[in-house]
This record gives sequence, C-alpha cells and structure tokens, in this order.
Amino acid sequence: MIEVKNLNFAYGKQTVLFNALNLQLTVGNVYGLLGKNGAGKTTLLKILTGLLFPQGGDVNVLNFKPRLRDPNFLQEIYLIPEEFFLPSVSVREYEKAYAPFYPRFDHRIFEQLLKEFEIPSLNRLSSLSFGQKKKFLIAFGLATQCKILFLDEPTNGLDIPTKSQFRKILASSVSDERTILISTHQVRDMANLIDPIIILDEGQIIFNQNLEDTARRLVMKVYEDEQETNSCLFCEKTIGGYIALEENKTGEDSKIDIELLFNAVINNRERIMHLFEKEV
Amino acid sequence: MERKNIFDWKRLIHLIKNEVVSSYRSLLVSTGAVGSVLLVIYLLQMLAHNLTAFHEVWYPLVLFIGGFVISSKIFSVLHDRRQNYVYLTLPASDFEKLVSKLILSSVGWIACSALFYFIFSALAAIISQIIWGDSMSIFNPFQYLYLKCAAIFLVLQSLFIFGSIYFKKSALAKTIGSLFLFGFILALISGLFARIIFAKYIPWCGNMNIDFEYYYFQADNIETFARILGEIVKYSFWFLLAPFFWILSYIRLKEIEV
Repeated sequence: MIEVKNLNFAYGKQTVLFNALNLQLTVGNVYGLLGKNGAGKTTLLKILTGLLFPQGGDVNVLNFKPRLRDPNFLQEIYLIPEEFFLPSVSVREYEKAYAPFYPRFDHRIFEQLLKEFEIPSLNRLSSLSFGQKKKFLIAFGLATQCKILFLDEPTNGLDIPTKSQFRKILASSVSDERTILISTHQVRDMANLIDPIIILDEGQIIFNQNLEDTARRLVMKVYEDEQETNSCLFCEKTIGGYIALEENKTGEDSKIDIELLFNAVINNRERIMHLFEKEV
Repeated sequence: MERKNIFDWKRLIHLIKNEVVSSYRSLLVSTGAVGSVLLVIYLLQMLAHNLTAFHEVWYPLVLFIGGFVISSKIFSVLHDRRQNYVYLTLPASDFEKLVSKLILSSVGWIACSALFYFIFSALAAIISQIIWGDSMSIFNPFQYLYLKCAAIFLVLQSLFIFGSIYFKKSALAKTIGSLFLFGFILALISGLFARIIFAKYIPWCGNMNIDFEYYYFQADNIETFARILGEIVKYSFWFLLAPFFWILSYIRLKEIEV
C-alpha cells in the first residue's frame, strides 16, 4: 500500500535528510512514526502526500506516484499537519466547499464526530480555539473515509480529556480498508493506539515492528540497583529504581513502554537490530 | 494520467464554488470600500460641474488595477505554509486548479467588475440627482472602449497569474518590476535593431556601418517589412502572449512543492 524504495531527499546541497530510505506499510494499521526533532518525519509525510518530490528512488502510495498529485490518489488520502489554517467560514460552509471532492464523504459520521468533539457547528471556524480546530479537521478527515489518514503531531494543542477522546475515536475508526500514519514525538499520548512502531533516524528507517513481535523479543523490567541493569539494552532512572529494556530470553510477557523502546532503539541501534534479525 | 483525471467539469465547478465561498467576504468588503471612494469622487466631480469622461477613466482603472491585484494574489495560497497543503492535496488536478483560478480572475473579474461598476454608476446617478439635481450617464459595459479594455486585460492578466505562482512574496510589485525590466531590455534591443535596419531613415544615425537595407531590402518594400513586423507583434500580443504564460503557469504549478 505504501512502498518506498531507496528514497533520497535533501534540503539544498548540505542537508541530506534521506539516503536510500526504504519503507513498506500495509493496510489496516495505525502506524506510529517516531523520530528525534529534525529526523524528517514531517518531510516523509509530505513526500508520501505529494507535497514534496523525491530526489531519487521510488515512492508508491496506493499504486500511485504521489508527486503526480492525481485526483484519484488525492481523494484517498487526507493530511492533518501540525500547523494549519481554517478559513473564516462556518462548519456547514466548509463542508459544502470541501466535502464534494471526496466521493465517500459521510455527512452522518461528520455530524457524529462533531458532536463527540463538542464542536459548535454554527460558529465560524476562525473563531474556534486551536484544539477545536484540530478536532474539526480530524472529524473532517475521518468523514472523508479516505484510505490513508496522515496525522502530524495530532495531540499537540489538545487538552487531556480531548487526547483520550482522540485516541478512542481514532481506534474506533480503524478498519481493514484504512491505514493511519501518525508522526509524533509525544509517544505517551499515543500509547495503546499506535502499532506498529516505525523509528526514523539519520535518514533511515531503523525500526519497523509491531508491538507483539517487539514484546516477544524485548522485555521491560524494574530494578532497584543500578548494577542489575548492566546487561540491559537501555535503562532509565525513575523514582525508586531503574526501568530497563532487555532481551526477552525467557519468553516473559510484558507491556512495552514506547518511549523506553524509542530511547533504546536510538541509543542501542545495532544490538536491537541484531535481535530482531534473529528467529524467535 | 487518464483524461478524466486531468479534467472533470464537476471538479472544476466544485473548485470555483470553493474559491467563491472562501473569498467572497473579503471581496465584498473591498468592493464596498472602492465603491464608497468612487462615489465621493463622482459627487465631487458633479459639484465642480465636470461631466467629462468619468466612466472612461475610472472603469478601466478599476478593471486593470483591481484585476491585477486579484490576479497577483490568487495563488498566494501556494506560498503560505499553513494553507498550501490544503490546496495541493485537494482532490483536483493541477490543470483544473489553474483553470478555475484563471476563470475567476479573468472572465469572472471582467463580469463582476462590469456589474459592480454598472450598479455603482446607477446608484451614484440616483444619489447625484437627489443631491445636485444632475448626474452623468449610466455606465454601459458594451461600449467599444470597455470591450477593448477587457480584451487587453485578458491578455495582460496572464502575466500576473504567472507572477502569482512564481513569486513567493509581493507578487504584484515583483511582476510589475519584471515587466518594466523586460520592457526596458526589449526597448534597447528594438532600438538597436531599428538603428541597424532603418538607419537610412533616421537622420542622426546615418553613419551606421551595417546597412541591412542595402543587402536585404529594397527602398520601396521597407515599409512593407515594417508593417509585417508590426502585424507580427500585434498578433503575438493578442494570440500568443496569454497562452504562453498560461502554459508556463501550468508547468510551474505542477512542479510546485511546499
């Protein structure tokens, strides 16, 4: 569904962002795209949606070349960026102006989501708060019933109750037909939602695994003494001890903390990649 | 891409509607402001009993200045990073996006400005009759002068559309600046050629070394050559200039990234 082969991309001659990047995503998942600031998460989303053009390699999304911006491709994707603008029109006017471009747009879903998000439908969009505007765009994006929804830092600017509401709505909107790709650095907001996890670092996808496989290979443990953490892949000091991620040699069942996993992959890339290459 | 993916009437109409919904408010405010200023000028001119050529001066100004401002801003959405993604990912082809904006800022603007000016002239005449007991004739958009202005606008507007796509900031000023620069260079080149070709007919450059006329033209057909040259320039202006800049605009739009 999304296939990226040997993607090269640079901003100018100096800043090479992707060097032979490969990525393959399948339908029906909520992918979490993680990476440090400046790793290229937003750039990758822009390339996948045809807003930036690859400088080398091959990018295929739903069997389309995004850079051609074919209308049939564009009606199957919806992007909600971190920074956005909504015109000074009412909810209804916006729907009338934009919904006709999406052949499967469902007015009932839109209404239902607006209600759940408590968006006043009579107000002008420009008068809504940042969080409300974001919720409006999420509702619109889901109502388009597009095949791929791209979200860039979706929880930025959302309050605590809305974050949980967002997770609930997004989880309920996943189907075998739809894929959601969420780029974020706020992994705690995305706990229990994103799976598989993709980690982008130094121009490469260094990790692309689902949480089930990850839990089979890695285990999270808590230690009181620092010396016990010697064999771990990564550990962090917490109140009253150390939280560590290590190889799951005994087949133990544990829930993986995504933030700990991210830090472990970034700091101990070689060992983790080697672990995932091994048969379990 | 299939033909239907490049052009579809339904999508074009949706794009035009979308554009109208997004910008009609600011256009109404601007129309109100321009209308008020024109009304004041109209009434002052009536006070001074100056009844000459009001519409002949002001309508072309509204048409050209307003039209160039609108054309220069029509693709500003492409250069605003909070808005460009919406426009570029809107499910319509780049061709449809260009055609929709072209229709609105050319034919659409000519029709709207003529209608606005007609309503303004009628209202101004009524108000003037009430205040001064006298008024000017109502604007007739089908007069030859205005139709010719509309045709010239249609051609020149293509330059401003291209400027709007090409320049990221201050598209109007940069387009006008580029036109002046281009005009200046063209005038220099034309002057040089005129000196070379028509040297014999220009008293102060009679001593040119290259006398093209001697080699290529007979004295009696130099006028024919000048006329043909004039016709080429005229036809190029009317039939080639606008399509050339529309094609350039399309190519640029297809290649635009955020």
